[in-house]
Amino acid sequence: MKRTRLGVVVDGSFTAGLTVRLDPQCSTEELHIGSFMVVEGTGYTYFCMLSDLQLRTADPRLLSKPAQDFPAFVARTLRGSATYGAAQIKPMLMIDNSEDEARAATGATPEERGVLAVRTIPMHYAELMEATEGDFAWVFGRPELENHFTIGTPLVMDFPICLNLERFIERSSGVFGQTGTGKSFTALLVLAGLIKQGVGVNLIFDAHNEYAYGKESEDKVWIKGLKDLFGSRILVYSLDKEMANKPGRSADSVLQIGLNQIERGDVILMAQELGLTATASATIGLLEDRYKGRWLNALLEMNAEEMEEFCRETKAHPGATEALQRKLKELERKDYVQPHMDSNLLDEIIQSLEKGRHVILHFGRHNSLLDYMLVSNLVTRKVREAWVRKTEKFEMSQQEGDRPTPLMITLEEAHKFLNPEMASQTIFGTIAREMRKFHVTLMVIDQRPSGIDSEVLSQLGTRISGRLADERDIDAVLTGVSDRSALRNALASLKLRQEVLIAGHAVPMPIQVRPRNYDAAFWAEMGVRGTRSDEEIDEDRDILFG
Amino acid sequence: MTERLGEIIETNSFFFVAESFTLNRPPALGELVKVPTGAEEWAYAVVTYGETAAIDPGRQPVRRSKADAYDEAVYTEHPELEHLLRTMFTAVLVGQKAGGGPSQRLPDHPPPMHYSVHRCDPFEVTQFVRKLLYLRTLASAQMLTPVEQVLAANLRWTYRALGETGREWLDGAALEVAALLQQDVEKLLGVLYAVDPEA
Amino acid sequence: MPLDFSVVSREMNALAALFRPEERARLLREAQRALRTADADKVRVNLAERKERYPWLVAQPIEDGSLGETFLIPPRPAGGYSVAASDGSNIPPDRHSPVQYCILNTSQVVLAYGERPSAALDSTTEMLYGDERLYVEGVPLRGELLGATMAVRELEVLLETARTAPEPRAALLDGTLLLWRIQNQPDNIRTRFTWRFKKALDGFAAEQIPVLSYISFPGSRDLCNALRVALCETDPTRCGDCQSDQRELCEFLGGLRDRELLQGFLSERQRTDLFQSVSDVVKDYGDHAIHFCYMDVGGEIARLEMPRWVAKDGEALEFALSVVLDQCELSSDVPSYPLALMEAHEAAVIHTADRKAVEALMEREFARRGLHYARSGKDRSKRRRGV
Repeated sequence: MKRTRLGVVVDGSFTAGLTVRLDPQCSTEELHIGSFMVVEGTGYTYFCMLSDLQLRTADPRLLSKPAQDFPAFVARTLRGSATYGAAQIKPMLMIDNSEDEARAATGATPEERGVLAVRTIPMHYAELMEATEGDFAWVFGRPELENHFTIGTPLVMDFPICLNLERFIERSSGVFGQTGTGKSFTALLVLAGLIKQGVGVNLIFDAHNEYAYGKESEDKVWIKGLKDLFGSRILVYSLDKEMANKPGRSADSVLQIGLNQIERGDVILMAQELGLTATASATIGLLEDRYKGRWLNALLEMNAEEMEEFCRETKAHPGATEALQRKLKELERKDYVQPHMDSNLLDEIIQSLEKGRHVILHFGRHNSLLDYMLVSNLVTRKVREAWVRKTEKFEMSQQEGDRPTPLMITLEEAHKFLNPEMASQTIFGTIAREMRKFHVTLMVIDQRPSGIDSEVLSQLGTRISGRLADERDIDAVLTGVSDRSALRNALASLKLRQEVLIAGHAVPMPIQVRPRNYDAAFWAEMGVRGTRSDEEIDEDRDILFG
Repeated sequence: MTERLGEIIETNSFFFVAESFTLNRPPALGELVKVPTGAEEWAYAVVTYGETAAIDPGRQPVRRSKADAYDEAVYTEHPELEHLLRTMFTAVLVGQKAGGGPSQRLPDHPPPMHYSVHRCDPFEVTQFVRKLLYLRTLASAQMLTPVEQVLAANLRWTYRALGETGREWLDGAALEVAALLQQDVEKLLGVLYAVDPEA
Repeated sequence: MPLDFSVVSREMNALAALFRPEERARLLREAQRALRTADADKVRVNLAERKERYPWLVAQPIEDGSLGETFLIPPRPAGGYSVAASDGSNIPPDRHSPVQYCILNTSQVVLAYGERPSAALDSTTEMLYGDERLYVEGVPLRGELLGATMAVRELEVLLETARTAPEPRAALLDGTLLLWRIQNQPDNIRTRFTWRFKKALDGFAAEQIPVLSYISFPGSRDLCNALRVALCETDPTRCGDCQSDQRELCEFLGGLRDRELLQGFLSERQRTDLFQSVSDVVKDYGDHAIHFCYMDVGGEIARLEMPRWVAKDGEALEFALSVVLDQCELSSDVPSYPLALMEAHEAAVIHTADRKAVEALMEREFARRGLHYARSGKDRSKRRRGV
């Protein structure tokens, strides 16, 4: 397809990118920061991102003249010559010009399509062109290809942009954006894609009750949840007994945890929420020494004398211990907390996941930060342990059948779990640092990425980000990404809604995308089922519980 | 054969001076003219200067008009003036044509002395100005008239000569001139204001 | 040595003292008064009866003519006119040159006015060489003889030129029609010129083309002398014995020129009456006795000469004079001068550059033919002007 010319390369370097002098008839206003563009060199064609726009003038005296009203003809002529627009372009990928377009259609990966990493720059007067649909196809492939899932379209064109889901799930990822940018819809799209195409298995901690069941959107439209879309392929575990039995949105099971299952790390994670002091960790350590796995039960059951005795014996601080007991009583009071639980429920969850059924943890009324953090951390710990064992087994046997299914854990309010203080203490921090060693990755969703530990951020493979206002948040999102300076502007220029920048492992190069609508058309594509009947519910339970 | 406008009385590699056949009316400033330089061979030039003066350098023109006889009437009253005055014009060489299409490099040889200068027909003009390289030659030529005046005159003249396609050509030529004069904003603005077709 | 200007400035006062402007003005007024009433008949009779010719020229009033009457010259002929004019220039034979030749350049100018104005400015060149052409009856063609050759040639060319001029037409010449230069030459030489001159005048008469010659700033005294004759009681040649109280006036008139007498006497567009010249020269002109009058052309008094037939033909005369005056008005000079004659002069002039070019041509052509072109020592010294 013939491309439209916008200007010519007049300057540049490999490190800093190319400077393009825009043609007289091309106004800076026709171009958008972050757009995907093409530079035609002699030997290679470069796929680039527009990272900056500037105004230049051949003679500064022209601008120092008092604001005259130049007649239209004069202004137009000056605009393309003595004054002109310059675009800063960052080449991201390239192809050899001898490649023919047929290959673009057939190659399953960018490499197979002949797309290469940029290793050189074009000469002066190489032309900057508007990208065509064919160019998008070269780089991002087409939805028909394996593991490709349409996440949306470019901002100004109606062509499907695909995520490579397999690569998405290979590394931890992040969905970012300030409040109101539609992060949960983006996450829903990705999760739906993963579930539909059966890429890996998902464990979702649904903190705000957004993912399992539908709800009314701001525009008074009923939005379907994942359970609505995928029925029995999803298992919903609810912490909230009452909500679990609501017709039409009933959970498949109720989750309860035992005090005996709560470990020190779980408690320390909630230090701020519980109002614990610095001594809490030490105190718990002493408790653990004496009571091992029952330390929490023991603490909560202790009366004053027993406590006194304990303190005396262990040199624990009485005041601290007393305070600890008082504060941890709150846990006991939780509906979903039992004094003792065996591991059946958690094992169930793990088995479901192993069988390829996705699990959503629904919090219902118990959606305070405390609940969220406690349960997510605890459950994840268990699940990860299982995956570690599976991985070790696979490594021993080297049988394909033993290969663990990749597991992705969706975590909201990630900065609570992954801030620099916590990152070393939570299981999530551990998972993030381990990358895919044990086939477990995270998808973190957050509006304050600057609160997340930078080491964790640098481990993220794919980042999908909506608009961010704070400079620190922008820096955070781009931590560990190459070409950061080029992407800053692309990120800063997104509209508040309906526009994201996707960069990283799941796409060959960063791209601004208008996410597809999470609407009836989408649901139809996912093969939505009707309202679930009671029989269906029973059927599922039978399958689950045998 | 197009109209003969004058005869060459001074000639070199870069420009020629011709005596106009019509007193007081040489070809217009900026006009494209041509000189036959051989069989099917032409040199093209742009008029950059015009002058009317006494043929005999020792005789100065003096006042001839009277209250009841002035302007054109002076020539009726003094028929000898046609023999005593002459109009000359200078044209800078900008191209040549030998066989195929026109090229915009300097002709190989100066146009021959005493050869005629001809008007160009509209088709020739259209063909020649398709390329704008000649504006560069014009801009760098040595001449009495300030270069921006000549460029403006040529742009205006060509715009009128091209008729329908003139406007499109003018936009392109204006950009070319802007590139040539971008180091001198005052001159550039002078040209652009002078050729503005919307003014 | 350079000029001693102190002598000049010293003598200046004495020189200026001679002029006495108030007395001069008084006498002039008196002379003009006398002119107005002068008796023309007395002069005519006097000239006819006198046995000895006067030693100076006296204007002879025409039949029924006056001395002091003035006439108005009509305006430009309605419908236009054309005027032919001619003038000449030459490169004389060069004594210092090894090769003797003479080049004559005679201009041919025709200016036409009216409905179809036009102009023709040409010249015709003649080269004289060889003994036959460069000697007249053994006398070298130089000085007065060359001047006469030029005058004759100009009149002949003027006739040719005038023939091409559209009617109504007049012909103008610069200078006098009287070949006084050669009047003292022996007959055999003089008649060679006058014969051709007369033939040309015949031509003008035959074709009825009025021909006039124009003399600017004339030095003639004919009219003053005629006035003296009119005033004299006795013998105008014996002023030394005169006891009359007119003596002062007569002596004044004796030193006065006609143009001075007529300055202030003639008004704009006015002319004097016609007079016949009594010069000896005219005896060779046959019927074409030369007549003349004076005219105020604006800025000066000019003298116009014409052959008899023009003087007699009232219409032709008036036409020709109005042409002259119109030509003077067309020129933007002050005092004015007929435009056609000015152009004729310009067209005839041989510029220094052309003279040099001719010489260079000569030298080159001679060298080509292997002839040595040696110039005299004096000439070389003049050319080199070394220090």
